[in-house]
Amino acid sequence: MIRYKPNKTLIPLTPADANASDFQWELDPTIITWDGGNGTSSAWHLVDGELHYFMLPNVRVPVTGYSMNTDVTTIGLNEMVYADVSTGRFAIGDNVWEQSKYPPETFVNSEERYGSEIHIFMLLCLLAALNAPENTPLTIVTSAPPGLVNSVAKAIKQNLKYGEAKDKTGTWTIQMSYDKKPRTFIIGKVVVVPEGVGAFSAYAYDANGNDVLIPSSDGRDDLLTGQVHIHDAGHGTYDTYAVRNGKLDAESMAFATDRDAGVLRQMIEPVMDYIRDQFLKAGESVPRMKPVQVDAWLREWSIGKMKPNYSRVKLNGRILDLQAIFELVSARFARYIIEEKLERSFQQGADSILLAGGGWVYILPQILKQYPNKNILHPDVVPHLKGIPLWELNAYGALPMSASNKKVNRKVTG
Amino acid sequence: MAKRHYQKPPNGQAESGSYLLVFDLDDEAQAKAWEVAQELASQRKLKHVLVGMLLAVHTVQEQTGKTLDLLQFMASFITGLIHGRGGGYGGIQITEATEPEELPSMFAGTDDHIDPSDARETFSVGMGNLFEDEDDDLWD
Repeated sequence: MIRYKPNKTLIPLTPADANASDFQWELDPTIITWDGGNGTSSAWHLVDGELHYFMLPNVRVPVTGYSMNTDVTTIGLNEMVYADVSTGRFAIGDNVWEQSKYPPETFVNSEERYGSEIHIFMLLCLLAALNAPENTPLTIVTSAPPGLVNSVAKAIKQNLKYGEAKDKTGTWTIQMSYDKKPRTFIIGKVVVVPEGVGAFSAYAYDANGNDVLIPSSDGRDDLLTGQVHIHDAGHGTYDTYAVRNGKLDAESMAFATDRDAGVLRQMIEPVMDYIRDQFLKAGESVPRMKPVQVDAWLREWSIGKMKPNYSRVKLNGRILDLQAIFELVSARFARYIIEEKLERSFQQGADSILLAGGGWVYILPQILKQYPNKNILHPDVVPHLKGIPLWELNAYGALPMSASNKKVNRKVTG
Repeated sequence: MAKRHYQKPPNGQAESGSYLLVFDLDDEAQAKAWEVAQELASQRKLKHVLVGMLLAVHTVQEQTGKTLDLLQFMASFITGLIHGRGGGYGGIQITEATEPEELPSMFAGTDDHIDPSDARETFSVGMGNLFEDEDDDLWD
């Protein structure tokens, strides 16, 4: 039986105040950071100085008891994970779209998705996977695209704090397929910040909220001062805005979110078009595909370091070699981002470009090749982010952000 | 039989198609190079590697019309090999024929930089107190 367990990792950098006589962790396990994105949903928390996290693809399929489509899959009940919530039973995880006669649900690229039932469902699954504390108020720190955050923050807070009985208790129950009894989570507080703020914090602070400087290559400057442009290449949106000497540039926030420059529009849809076209040319019927399916193929390819072995997929009884089209859409995505996003940032005077989001995984080598002499920040060049993937920077970074915010406000009020 | 007079060529150049390389095994760098050379020779690849490297020098010199600084060339070559990129300006080979429009942006940042710790504090303070008691207007 598959059972979800949190991934665990040591914090990349020992906190600067670890040896202080009055040292204590700023964050306890009830503070959960959550990036409920269009492509994946992930959550983190700090448990006695150890990072616990879990990620799920943003998809579910309704399953009803034994009605799963065993004609098309050999995967049995014990080899999939499903969750029972007040709205029904849903299978989750990669490849669930193969396991039900019902179509997969994703609800992406819409303002209404934030705080929606499926959005909250993904959080509940993550809380269960993390073994988050039950029956005690949790603080959920989450984010939304900067261009939408003003209009969706209230809906996220309200809907989470309503609770499943709509009684404003914030109480939710979920029973995983491997659980013997339901889990009860209480959402006590919800904090919503613009996407990218967590990523900036990941670079700026350690896990206990202490400042971490990032010296330039000549050691004379710090790469987070001056004009820093955050470039968050997500699944559904590409968000860009500026932070000037630590101040968010409100002007740039208003036009930060671009729905045409995320992985969905730039890579997944062209791959789907190509596959459909190839099947048509072969005189075969066009296969049914879902963006979440192609996204899973691309993630598998990136995990396999974009090698041909990892670009082979099965579809409609055929094995497809997608290496060439994956490389082509990556190259085109890179060119688009250089011409439409990065060049503009440099022309506007960016001292540093701060990268976040899974989209960079496919194009980072081309970007670094294009700009060998520019300050482009990504986790591989910052020791205190070692082991934190680009696509987790917003979720992980909300932890150092929260710790720093607690510290700095204690200083202000104390 | 006429005795062939051996005349040492200038600047260490060879006259025939062969060249004798002598590694100073007391020199740590040359000793390591010798080990690699031995390994490549056992695979019959040493000549290919050396010829390939010299051909690269020739090609670059021919394209640029300039004699290479070999130290810089080797550094860029190895860097490119490891990181998949070269030094210089984003793969643009600048020659006298390069048009100004082809050059990368000249802007390299701003000169208004505050103290790094102040920037971080400003960022954190700018978010307000995220963990103070919930605002009352949530249910309005």
